[in-house]
Amino acid sequence: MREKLFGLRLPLAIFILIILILNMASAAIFYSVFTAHVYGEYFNMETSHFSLYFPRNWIAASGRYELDYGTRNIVWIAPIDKLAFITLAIMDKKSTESYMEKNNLTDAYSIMKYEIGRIYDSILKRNKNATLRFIGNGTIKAAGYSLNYISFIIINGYIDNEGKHYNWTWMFMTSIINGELLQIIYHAIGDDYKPTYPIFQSILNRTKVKWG
Amino acid sequence: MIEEERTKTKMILNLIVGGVLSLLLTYFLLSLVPWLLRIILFSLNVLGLLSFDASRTAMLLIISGSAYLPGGFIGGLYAGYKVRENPRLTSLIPGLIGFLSLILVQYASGILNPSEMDMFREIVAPSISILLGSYLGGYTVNWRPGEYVDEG
Repeated sequence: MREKLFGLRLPLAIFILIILILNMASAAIFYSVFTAHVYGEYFNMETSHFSLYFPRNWIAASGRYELDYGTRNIVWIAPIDKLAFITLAIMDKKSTESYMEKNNLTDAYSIMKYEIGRIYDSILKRNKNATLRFIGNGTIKAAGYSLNYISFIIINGYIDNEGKHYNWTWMFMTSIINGELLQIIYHAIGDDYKPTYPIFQSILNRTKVKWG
Repeated sequence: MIEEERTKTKMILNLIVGGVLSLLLTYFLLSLVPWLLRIILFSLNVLGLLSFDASRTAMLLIISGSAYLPGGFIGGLYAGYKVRENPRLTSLIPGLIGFLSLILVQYASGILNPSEMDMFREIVAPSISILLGSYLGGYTVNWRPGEYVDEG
C-alpha cells in the first residue's frame, strides 16, 4: 500500500480528496441548475400550474395541498433581504365550488372580502391597535388574465421581535377562470412595499398559468 | 489489574472526548456552511438556485464534505492520538458517539422531526460521512503502511 499521496499520509490525503470531490460535484450541480433555469436576470421555474420567472436573488417554493374535495396548488416567491411576499394559488374546480358554498361566497369580490376579513381578524388577535384601510380596487391584468383586485393597508399590522410597529400593505387579486379559483397575493411590510412593487409587476407579466 | 482498569477508563474517556469534539465541530459547521453558502450565492446574484430540487442534492454534498466529514475527522484524530490500541475499532467510536449525540441534539432542539424525516438526508448521509471522517482521522495518526503490506 502507498505510504503517502501528494506528500500527505494516505488517510489524510483521502480525506482532503473526498472533501474536494464532494464540493466540486456540488458546484457542478449548481452550475447545471443555473444553466438550465437562467433567463437573463430571472430564473424560470415550472410547476404543475405555473410557469414563472423570478429574480435571481429571490427564493421560490411550491406546494400542493389536498383540500376537502380537491387540491390547491401554491407558489411562494420572496426576496431574502426584504419583507415582501408573493403568493400564487390555484384551486381546482371542485375545491372552488366547495370553498364558495361553505363560506357563502358568490364571486371574486366576495372571496377577496372574505379573505381580507380573515387576515385582519388574525392580525387583530395579536394586535388590537391594527387598523384596516382600503386603498383601491378594480381590475388588473396579470399572468395574461384580467383579475379583480383590492389593495389595502393594515396600519400597525406588523410587530417585529423588538415590538416595533409597521404598516402592512397588501394587494389581493382574484379571478374565477373556468370554475377554477386563481389568487395572487402580494404583501410587504413597512417601506419594503414600494421598492419591490415594480419587481412584483414584472414577475406577474412573465408568469403564465397552466390550467389542469 | 487496577492499572489495566485505569487504562481502560482513560481510553473510554478519550473516546468520549473525541465524540464530543466531533459533535461540537459538526454542529458548528452545520450552522456555518449553509450560512456561508447563502452569502456566496447572494453575492453572485444566484441565491434563487436554492429554490430548485437539484440544489438540495448539491447542498447535501457540500454539507457532507464540509461539515459531517471534518466533524468526524477531528474526533477520530483526537481519539487516534490518545488511544493507540485497536485503531480499526477505536477510530470509529468517536464518529459513532458524535453522530448519535448530533441526532439527539437535533431532535431535542426540534430540528429533526421523526414524522417528517428524510431518512437518507438526515440519517444515512450524515452517519456515513461522520463515520468515514472519524475512521480517516484515526488512521491519519496511526498510519503504519508496513503493517498493511504484511496483512496483504
